[in-house]
Amino acid sequence: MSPLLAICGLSVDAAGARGTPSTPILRDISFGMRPGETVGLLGASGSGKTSLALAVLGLLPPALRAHGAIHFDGHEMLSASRGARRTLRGRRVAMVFQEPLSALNPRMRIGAQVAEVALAHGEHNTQRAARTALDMLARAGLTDAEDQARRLPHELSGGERQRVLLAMAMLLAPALLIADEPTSSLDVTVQAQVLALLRAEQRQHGMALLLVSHDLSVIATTCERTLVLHDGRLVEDVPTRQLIVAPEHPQARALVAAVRRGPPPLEHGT
Amino acid sequence: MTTGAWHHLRNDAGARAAAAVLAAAAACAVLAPALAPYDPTIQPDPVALRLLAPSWQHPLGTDPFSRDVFSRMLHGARVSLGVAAGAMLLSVTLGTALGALAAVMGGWVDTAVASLVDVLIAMPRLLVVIALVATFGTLSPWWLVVLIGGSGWLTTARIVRAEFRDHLQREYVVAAVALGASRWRIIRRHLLPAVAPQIAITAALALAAVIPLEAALSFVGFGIQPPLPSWGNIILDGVDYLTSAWWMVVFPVGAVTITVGSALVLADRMRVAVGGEEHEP
Repeated sequence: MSPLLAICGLSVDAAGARGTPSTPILRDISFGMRPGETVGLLGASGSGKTSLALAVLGLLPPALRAHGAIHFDGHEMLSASRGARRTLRGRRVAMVFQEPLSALNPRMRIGAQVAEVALAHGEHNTQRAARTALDMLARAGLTDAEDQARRLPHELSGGERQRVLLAMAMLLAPALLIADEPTSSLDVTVQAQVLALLRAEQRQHGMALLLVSHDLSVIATTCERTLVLHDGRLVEDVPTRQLIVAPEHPQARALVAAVRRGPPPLEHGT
Repeated sequence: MTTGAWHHLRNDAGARAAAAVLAAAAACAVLAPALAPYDPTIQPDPVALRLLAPSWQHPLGTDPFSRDVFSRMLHGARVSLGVAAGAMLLSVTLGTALGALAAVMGGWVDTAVASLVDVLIAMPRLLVVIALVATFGTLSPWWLVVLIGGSGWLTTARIVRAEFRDHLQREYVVAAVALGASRWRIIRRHLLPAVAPQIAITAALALAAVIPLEAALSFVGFGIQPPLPSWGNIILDGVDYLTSAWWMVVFPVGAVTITVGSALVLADRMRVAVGGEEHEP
């Protein structure tokens, strides 16, 4: 099967002020993803995970310069025109941001925000967009979708907000979904529900999933293959099972050991 | 405006009083033909009826040409507030458009707008308008709207640019871009609603700035030309008689002061309402 996403020799630098050298953020990253594949991207904070996700969407801030190639769905994302990238975003590749409350417009009702995605991609009938949004919200597991759609983001719980973000990202059945720490702000039960929702959507539409996380346990339960990013370099690209059994890179070993050890025990009596 | 700030504003006594004064002034302007007891330009008897003190026949007295000052004040409100409202709308629209363009396009567009603002802000507005009027001869009220409005967009542009840039970095805007929203869509659906309260504040401030500007222009003879009345040229008609016929100056100056004061109070209360909302969780 031809790859859906192929990244070749991607480097991203933060341009320094005049005279100072630029700071590398990503260094010579290469990997590919097949349609429908689930890949975990593991790394400590500051390792460049989010920059990599933004680079795939062609959304790097102007101060960051990217070199190399990102082939996605027959397009070269780094050299594609602004318009071409815009039509791909939301329709072919979508992203779920880390913090659900700040990723939603505080002034716009939930239903309208989901409908926005359809309206941004050529749907002109607002009523039809609103209906599509309601269907998607119900499919994303929001109870009383019709009622909730009229609410503002701050009136929802964290789990409900995450479902709204997923509904927005999956509305147009993208070929690739990039989820940046989609479960880090949720408690464990809701976390499992959100991951189940992602898997159901993958089965139904053959969506590929790039799951960005610093949490190996989330990646281990979801992803066939795991990439480990350390200090802007890709240090592992292995089946998840192999990473857990025999991590090679010291950084990967440290991450695996952290999960095995579990959180430090509480002092007796506290 | 967001519901919280709007609610705050509706329960604010100062804001309500200021809005009531502005509404009353606007009502006088709109209803001037019906309310005015006399034709504002007619000179019934320039000898017997000139410079009469306020009385039941002439509540605000008469001017040196025997015209009724109350009628001229009402029709003057129509002209002065009409020019002010038009100029305010023009400057706020222009400022919002240019500020939004600079923030969203960035690059050379941003640099060009910023330099234009820097150059224009250094110019004394009144003198520039006087110079333009002197160049083109006397101007119709419509041109006055264009000149005053066209020179007043700087503050709005600066505020809208700063607010837009702030919101462009917020995660919800980045998230909307990541789902394929165009720049125009981002402006219309996310940025303008977010910045609307700040734009409303600059609109009130713009109104407070353009009313005295029109009055000043008309007072020095470069604005509204007689016999058409404006608050500024009523003062001009009376300024030679300041010691003997105080009513010619006191009433129009009072009208300018009260409307400008109300616009300033309203702007201030809006700022408090919007600021108070941001401290809520």
